[in-house]
Parts: sequence; structure tokens; C-alpha cells
Amino acid sequence: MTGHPRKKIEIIVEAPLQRSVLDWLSQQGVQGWSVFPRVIGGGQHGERSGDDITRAFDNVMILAITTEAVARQVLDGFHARFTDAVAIVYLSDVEIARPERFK
Amino acid sequence: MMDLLALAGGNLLSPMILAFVLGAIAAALRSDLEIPEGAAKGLAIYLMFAIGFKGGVAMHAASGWALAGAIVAALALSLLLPVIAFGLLRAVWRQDRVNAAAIAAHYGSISIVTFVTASEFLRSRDIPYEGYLVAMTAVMETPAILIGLLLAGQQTNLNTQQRSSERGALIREVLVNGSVMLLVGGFIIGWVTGDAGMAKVKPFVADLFNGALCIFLLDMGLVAVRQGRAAKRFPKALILFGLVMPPIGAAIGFAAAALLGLSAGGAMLLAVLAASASYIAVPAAMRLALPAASPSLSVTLALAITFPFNVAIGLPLYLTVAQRLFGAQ
Repeated sequence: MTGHPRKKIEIIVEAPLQRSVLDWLSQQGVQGWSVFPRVIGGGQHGERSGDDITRAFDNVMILAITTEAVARQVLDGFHARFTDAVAIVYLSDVEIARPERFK
Repeated sequence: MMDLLALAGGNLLSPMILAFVLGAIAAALRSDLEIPEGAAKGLAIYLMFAIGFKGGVAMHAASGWALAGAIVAALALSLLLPVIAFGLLRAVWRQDRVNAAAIAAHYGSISIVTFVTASEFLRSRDIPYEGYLVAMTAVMETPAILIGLLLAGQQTNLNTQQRSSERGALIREVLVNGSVMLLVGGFIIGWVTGDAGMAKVKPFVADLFNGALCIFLLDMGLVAVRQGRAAKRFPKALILFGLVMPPIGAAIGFAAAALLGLSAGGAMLLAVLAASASYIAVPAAMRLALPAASPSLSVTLALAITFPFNVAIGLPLYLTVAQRLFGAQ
């Protein structure tokens, strides 16, 4: 059985912006999402160890599976909308079994 | 002077401060000691509810008018302090306005942990304080965030639709922030149930308090050193600010205490509130309000410089001044 192609959007973003990003995503047409609430990492600007008392230094990962059109819109618009945010966005190809669930 | 030194020495040798030192040493030695986020949040919830409750219970001695006056004074302080901090920052550190505004917002708010440590400092010396200081703590938590926004000058190259989502989240944060709800809720519950209520929860709210504070301050020590290490090339002008602003804030706090006619204990706590800077609630709010500001600057200032200054030097200093100005207990 062949799967149906869709795009997976993954956004790793600082925790205080989680609500704003989710609201914006649904405005772009994203209908469902998952959030991984605690993401630890590091990079050019230092590390995020996730053990701070203030959520200002925590990251979350938001995952959504959408059509190509919506995904492109998200990728193109994210950084303009969330300037100065600590975030990365990327797309990948996935196949899903129930196309009616991922419009 | 000898009294002050004795007081300072006694403070530094309390289990709570030593726990903070332990955390700092552990982090400096790169130990993997870590207080899990859930545990730290749980302790914070406990401390805030307990201090709120205890403040409410102490209200039976105060009048409603005194409370109203205190709340107005607290609001005024919360709006005035960030302006002063901002002015001072712009004078010594001309770098950028947005960061100055964000830091100012932190200093206009309060550090609940410093307040809690200070209240224990008083309680262990049998120095009473007015219960409504806790209500003032809750009031002073969040308005500074809005002042910080105003001070930054709102570079409006963003359209209003974008900002309304952040603004909504911010307003909610300012008004129904979790810490504020706990403090105010605990305060009201303590006020309503009074001594009878206290009798029911005393082992939890009173007896466990210092121990919980020890673990929490241990975490603060860990985080302060780790945060201080993570912030590279910290501007010297800011370090100076972090040490100079607390006494300035304390002085303004004492002025307000004089207007309110507070006792020595109450005046000392108000000075502590004015001298402290938030590093729990405000940093997260600043990510929404002023995302261009660097949280590592403001949090390092508040946590690694001002907080240790206040608990190690500030507490005995402010108490000594309070007793001198407002009469010994």
C-alpha cells in the first residue's frame, strides 16, 4: 500500500513563544500539532541545558504534518513573523496513511 | 558597625545561605548536581503559597485601609523603579536601549526568593512585619514588564496583528501570572482562615519552610554560577549597575515605608522588595515583550550579581538601616 505524501514541519523554538507560534500556525492553516515540551541542545550561541528555573532559556519542539502548500507558507513566513526569536524551522518529506486527517 | 558585622556573619552562617554557597561551589567545580525542573517548580509553588498564607494570617492585626495604601504604594514603586533603573543604565552603559529597558523591567519587579529569605531572616530574630507586605510583593511582580515595554520605545516595524498575539499573552501574564495567583490566593486564604487555618497547616507551611528554602537556594546557587559562566564578556558597567541599583532601590523602598508608617521589619522587607530583581517571571515575559533583548544579560545580572549581593550583604544592611530609621523592634 502506498502512503500519501505530506510535509512535516519541525520548529524548535524558545518556550515563552510556544503559544504565539501555535496561534500563528493555525492561522497559516495548520490543523494539528504536537509539542515536545523540553528540548535540550547547543550550538553557536551556547547551550540550553533545560534545568533553569525560568522558562526563558527553555526550548520546545513543535511538530506538525501538513500539505506542501501550508508547509511552504510556514517556512517562508516564520522568521519574518518571529524576528529576534530563538528558533529553527525545517521541513521534511513524510508519508501518511490517512490523507483525510492531514488536509 | 559591630552590630552590622555580627548580623552579617550570623546571616552568612544560616543553613539557607550556606546551601546557596554549596550550590555555587558545586557548579563552580562542574559537578553534575542538578535540581530537576519539576522539583524546583514544586518548591517554588510551595514557598509562594506558604509565604502568601503566612502573610494573610498576619493580617488580623492590620486594617483594610492600611492594605489599600500599601497596594497603592507597591504599584507606585513598581512603576517608578524601572524608570530609575533605566535612567541609571543609560547613563553608565550607552549600548542599547532595548536591553536597558529589559533590565530595567527586571529591577522594577521583585525576587520572591529574596523576599522569602528576608522574611525568614526577620522571623528567626523574632522581628515582626506587617502581613500586607506579601500583598505588596504580589502587586510588584508584574507591572514593571509594561514599563519596560514603554521604555524600549516600541520599534514599530512590525504590524499590529503580529503583536496582538504577544500582547494578549503579556496582559494575561501581567494580570494572572501563576506566581501572583499563588501569592494573592495564599494571602486571601490565610487572611480568611486566620490562626485557626494556620493551626491546620502549620507543620507544612511553617515547620518545613526553612528546609525547603535550603534546597531552593541550593538550586539558585547552581543556576547563578552556571548562568554567570554562560554569559561571556559581561560588560563591567553592568556589574557595577547590579551592585549599585539594589541600595538605590532600597533607599526608595525606605522612603515609601516612611510614608506608609511601617514597622522596622516591614520597612526592611519593603527595601528588600525594591532592591531585588526578578529572574523567574520577568525573563520569560521579556521574551514576549522585547525579544530583541538578550535574556542572558538580564538574568545574569539579576541572578548572579544582585541576588547574592542582596542575600549576603543586603539583608543585614537593610535591617540595620531599618532599625536605625524606624526604631528597633
